[in-house]
Formats: sequence, structure tokens, C-alpha cells
Amino acid sequence: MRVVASGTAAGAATSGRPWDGLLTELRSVVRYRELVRHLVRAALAKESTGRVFGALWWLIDPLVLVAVYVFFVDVILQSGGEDFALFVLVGALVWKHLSSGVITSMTTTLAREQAMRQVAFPRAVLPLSAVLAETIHLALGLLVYVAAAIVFGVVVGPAFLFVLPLVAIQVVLVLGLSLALAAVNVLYRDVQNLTSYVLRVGFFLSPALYAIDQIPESVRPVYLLNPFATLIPAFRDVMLYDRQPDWSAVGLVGLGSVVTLVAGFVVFTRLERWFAKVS
Amino acid sequence: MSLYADAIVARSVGVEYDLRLTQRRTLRRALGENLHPRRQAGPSKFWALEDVTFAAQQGDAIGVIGQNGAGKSTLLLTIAGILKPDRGTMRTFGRVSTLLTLGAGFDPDMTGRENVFLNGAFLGFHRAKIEEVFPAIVEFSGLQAFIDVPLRKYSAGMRTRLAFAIASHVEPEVLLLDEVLGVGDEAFRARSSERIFELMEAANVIVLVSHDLAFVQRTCTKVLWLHEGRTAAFGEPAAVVAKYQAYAADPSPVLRAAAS
Repeated sequence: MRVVASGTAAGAATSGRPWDGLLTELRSVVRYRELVRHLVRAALAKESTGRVFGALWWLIDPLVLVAVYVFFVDVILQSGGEDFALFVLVGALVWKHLSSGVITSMTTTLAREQAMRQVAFPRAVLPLSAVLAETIHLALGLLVYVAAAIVFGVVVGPAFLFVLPLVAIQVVLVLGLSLALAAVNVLYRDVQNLTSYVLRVGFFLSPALYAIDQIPESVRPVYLLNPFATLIPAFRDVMLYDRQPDWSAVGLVGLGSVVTLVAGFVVFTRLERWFAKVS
Repeated sequence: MSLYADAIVARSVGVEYDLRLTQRRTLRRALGENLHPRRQAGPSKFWALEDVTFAAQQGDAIGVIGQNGAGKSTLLLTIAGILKPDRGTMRTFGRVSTLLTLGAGFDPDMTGRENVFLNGAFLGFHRAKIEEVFPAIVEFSGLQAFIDVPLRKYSAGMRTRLAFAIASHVEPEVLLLDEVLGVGDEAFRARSSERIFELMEAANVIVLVSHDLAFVQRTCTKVLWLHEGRTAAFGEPAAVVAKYQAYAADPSPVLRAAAS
């Protein structure tokens, strides 16, 4: 037999070992991996029921963005540069994973409010499964990219394999942000509205539609504080230009992502105890 | 019988509600309040459970009695691990089920069959276990013809039947019951109360919240009387029920003083 439900007050009782709570939570997330699988499947099934295009809807968003920008920048302003459509597609896919991951984490966590008042499951599985479902979407997007690259006659070379560590960093980062924001949003619902504005501004402050060398040197140190200013060009390096990214910069972002994930998890486990009490 | 003698151990459990966190739900209001602290009306925190201590051994049936608002339901939620104590410790050994968690996590877009597995996963069961009891669940619910229909198309009664069928087939070791359950139509109600008694017999430990003092005294091995979030008395059913009845007939000045 095992201890299923056990709770200890925060503060005094566990003050000596702050990691204990985190480890317990982590272990129970692992124990509920079956639930994660179900929730991911439910998230993916949701978009295909009663809809002709199913998962394609996720892709239509970045594809429309690509079409609009190709028309605007390439056709009207005639300043797109080589393979502008693929160039924008990479940025749009990476950003879509971030924005959808964070937003659906917040909405699905709120949507399970009823269940949170009824059963003692580790609540972190909610944002986790939302981010995993978005990652499956991203994988589909990468396949679409490969197809498009072949159509445009762009060589997808061996460097493309480095997309895997980049996706790993991206997932860790998005998961960390999602955990923190989803938890805060349960207590203050307008965080969700705020987040969608921040994401919209962030999109233009990231090199999704332009190359980073268009940013003036003087602003660059500040500009590079945005992890996506490193990640999006790195994705382009391996997907579009068949070359190694700047691994030292990518490594630093990877480290920052891990720190973000730990911090997000700490925030989540701290606030989680209030979820079932929100009425 | 289990390896552990203790099934539930509660030590000075306190559960706090912070009204600022749990009632105001926007940043604007939270910020506004911090900028104008005088606007705060009344205390923002209260302890739904203040100091509850008791222990249940394997084989115990604990009856929880007390007036409305004494914290009985909060106690069940804490035993189930849905709420975590903000003070003290609560440990529950074994698989917990509350028959109040009917249909937790049900997803209207998924079929009845998928929802059985989803609900099972929320309760922490592995697929193999659910597959094993799946036929029994479907049969008990009487929904054979509708099991592959999306839950959205179920009536409220059909949903409840499916939910109860799941909850009652996962055989909890620690069974938590809040009041008497009346679900479904006449025939289903008879079947479900019969099933509840079966579950009560199968469970190692039962915690039962009820206002039916005669029923509590008849079925329970120990009784816990909660008064305003505190243990007023715990022990021998007859003795505790008698104390509670005496209090209910004439709230003694001693207790009233302690309460205020």
C-alpha cells in the first residue's frame, strides 16, 4: 500500500528542506503519467471533433501569417530577401508554440477547476499536457516546413537534426513560463489578458519577421535578453541555412530555460494549494 | 488487513481560506486594494479548520458530526488530499475515494468509454485496472447502448449513473462519504445505496459525515464531533453522540465561550 494523500503544512514543518515538496510533487506527476497521456489525447481530439480540418487549424495560423508577410514585405515592399516565406515560417512556428503553449496552459488549467475541487491529482499535469499537445503541433509544423522547403527547392541538410536539441530547449522554456502563468492565472484571471498582449508585443520584439542584423548594434545587448532572439535565428540556422547555430549562445539560453522551468515549478507548487479553494 | 495500523493520522490540522486570494479574481481589484488598504472590509482570512486531531486505524468507521459550518466537508476534502493543511499534518494511507467526486474530469467532447478511462486516470488508476473493471462499470450504469456516444449527448441522469458506476467500482481502501447519496431514478437509487453498503463493507476505513445521529451511532466505531473547526470530542460513539446531543439541546456556556 502507498500513501496516496498526504499533506504537510508549508513553512515551519518543512523549512529545513525546501526541495522535499518539489520532489514529492515531481514524483506524483510521474505517477500520473497516464493522466498526462489522456489529457494530451483529449486536447488533440478536441480540435478534430466536428471540424473538417482538425489539427490543420493550428497550422493555418502561422501559414496565414506567412502569406500576409510574403505579400506585404516580398511583393509590396520588395525587401524580403531569399526564401522569405520559409524564413518567416520558421519564426512563426516557434512563436506559435510559445503563444499557444502558454495560453492553452492557462485556459485548460482553469477549465479543470471543477476536477481540482474533486480529486487530488498533481495539478501540474494540466499545463504539462497542454505544452506537450502544442509540441505535437510543432512537430507537425516542422514536417510542413520540410515539405515546403522541398517545394521551394531548399536543401534540408544534416544540420536539420540539431532541431531536436533546439526543440528540447524551447519545450523546457515554454513549460516553465506556462507553469508560472497558469498558476497565477487561477488566482487572478486577468493575467491571461495581460499575457496575450505581452505575447503580441513580444512577437515584434523577436526576430520572427526580420533578421537579427537589422537590429542596431547599440540596442543588441538589450535585445538579446529575449531568449527568442537567440532561439529563432538558431532554428533558422539548422532548418534553412544548413549550418551550426551559435552553440555558446544557445547553451546559455538552454541554461536559462532550465532555471525558468525550476522557477515555474516552484511558483506552481507554491500557489497550487489555493486552487481548490478558489470559488 | 494492511501492513499499516494507522489509516488516517491528523495532527492539529488547520485549513485557511484567504478571501483576498479566493474571492477577488482580477489583478486590478487586488492592486486597488493594496493601494487603498482602508477599503478592505472585515478580515480577509479565516480558518475553516482550526485544530483537528484524530487517528483512524484500519477497520475503523469514523462518523463526523457537528453543526453546519463546523468544517465537516473541509475535513473530508483534506483527508482526500484535495486540500492541503496550512497548519499541522494530515496523512492518509491507502487509496482514497470520495463518492462526492462523481465524474471528476469528465470531458463532454469525449465518448462515455473514453471518459471512463479519463476519469480513472484522474483518480490515479492505471489503464489495466480500468480495463479490468470496465465491463462491470458499463453494466452497472446500464448505458451499454450509449457508451460510444459523446458525453455531450447524455442526459444529466445518464452522466450521474456513469459517474457513480465508475466511483463505485474502483474499490477504495479509504472511503469518504458526505451525507446520504441519492442519485438517479428509483431503481438506480436502490441499486446505488446497496452498492454503497457493499463498498463500506469492502473498504478498510470509512469516514462518514452525517446528521443522522442514530445511523452514525449504529455504523461507526468512533465518532468525531467538530465544532467551529476544532475537535470538540473524539472517541466512543455513544459517549460523543451523547455529548453532542446535550450541547445541541442546551449549548453550554463553556462551549459558547470557547467558540467566541
